[in-house]
Amino acid sequence: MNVIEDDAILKLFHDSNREQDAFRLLVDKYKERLYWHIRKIVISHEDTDDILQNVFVKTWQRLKEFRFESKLYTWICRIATNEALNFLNEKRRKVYGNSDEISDFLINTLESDKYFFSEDKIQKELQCAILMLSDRQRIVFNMRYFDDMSYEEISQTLGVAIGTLKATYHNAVQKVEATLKIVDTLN
Amino acid sequence: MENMNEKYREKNPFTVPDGYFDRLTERIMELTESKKEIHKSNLLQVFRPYIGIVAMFVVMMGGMYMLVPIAMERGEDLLNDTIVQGTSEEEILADDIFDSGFNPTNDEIIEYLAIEIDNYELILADVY
Repeated sequence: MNVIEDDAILKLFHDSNREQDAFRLLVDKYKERLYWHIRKIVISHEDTDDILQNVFVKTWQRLKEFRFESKLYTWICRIATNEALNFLNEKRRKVYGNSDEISDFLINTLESDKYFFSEDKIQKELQCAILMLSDRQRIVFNMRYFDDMSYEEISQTLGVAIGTLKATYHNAVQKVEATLKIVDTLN
Repeated sequence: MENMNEKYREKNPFTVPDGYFDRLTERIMELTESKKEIHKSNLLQVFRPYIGIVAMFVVMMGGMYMLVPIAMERGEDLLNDTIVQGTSEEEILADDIFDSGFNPTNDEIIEYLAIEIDNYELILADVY
C-alpha cells in the first residue's frame, strides 16, 4: 500500500471540497501509531479509545493552522500526549490525592484489562516496572525504547530539551532495571 | 546507558478488540462530521440574541425615520391652529397688540394717576 505524503494530505485538506477525503487519509495513516502511543500511557483500551477520538477531533479542528514547524505526526502526537496526560491528571484530581497512587491505579487497570495478554510473565513484570515511573519518565521511556524515536523527535513532541530527555531516559532505564532485578530476586 | 534488554521490545502484550482498527476510521469520520453540525448550530445559538437586538434596532430606527417627520408636520399644524388661523409668523410679529388709537399725553397720564393717589405719594414720585 502506498503511503501518502503529509504534504499531499495537507494540500488536499486546504481544498474545501476535499477536506473529508484528506482527513480520512490522515486518520488511516496515523491511527495505529497514535493508538499505541496513548495506550502505553493510560493502559486501558476503553480510555485509549476515548482519548484517541478526542485527539482526532482536535486535529480536525486545528489542521488548517498547521504550519510545518514540525512533522505532522510530531504535531498530532503532541496533542495526543497532552490529552493522555490531562486524562491522568483528571484521574488524580478526582480519585487520588497524589501521584504515587496513580501508579497503583494503572497497575490495577493493567491487571484487570481484558485486552492485556497477562500470560507473558516477563512482559507483565516489565509493564508494572514501567508503571512505577513518573508520567514524564514513562512517556520518554516508551517513545525511546518501544517506538524507537530519536531524541530530536521526542524533543519536538514533548517540548523538552534533548539533554533533559537523555537524562530522563537514563534514569528511567535504571529504575526499570532495578525493579526487574528485585522481582527476579524475589522469584 | 541504553542497555535495556532488547528482547522486551519485540513483544507487545497489549491487544485490541477484533476489527477495531478497521472500524476506527469510519467512527472518527462520523464523529468529526457530527462535530461540524454541532458547531454550526452552536454558532447560530450564540448569535441569535445579537441578531434579535440588531433587528429591533433596525425596526426602531426605521420607525423613527418614518414617524418623526410626520409628527413634526402635525406639530407645525397644531401650532398654527392654536395661535392664529391661517396667519404666518411675520404677520403675527407684525400684529400690534396694543390699540393704535390709544396714545395718551403726559397730562392725561398725570390726571389719571391723580384720581387714585394722594399728595404725599405725588411728592415721593417727584423725589424718585
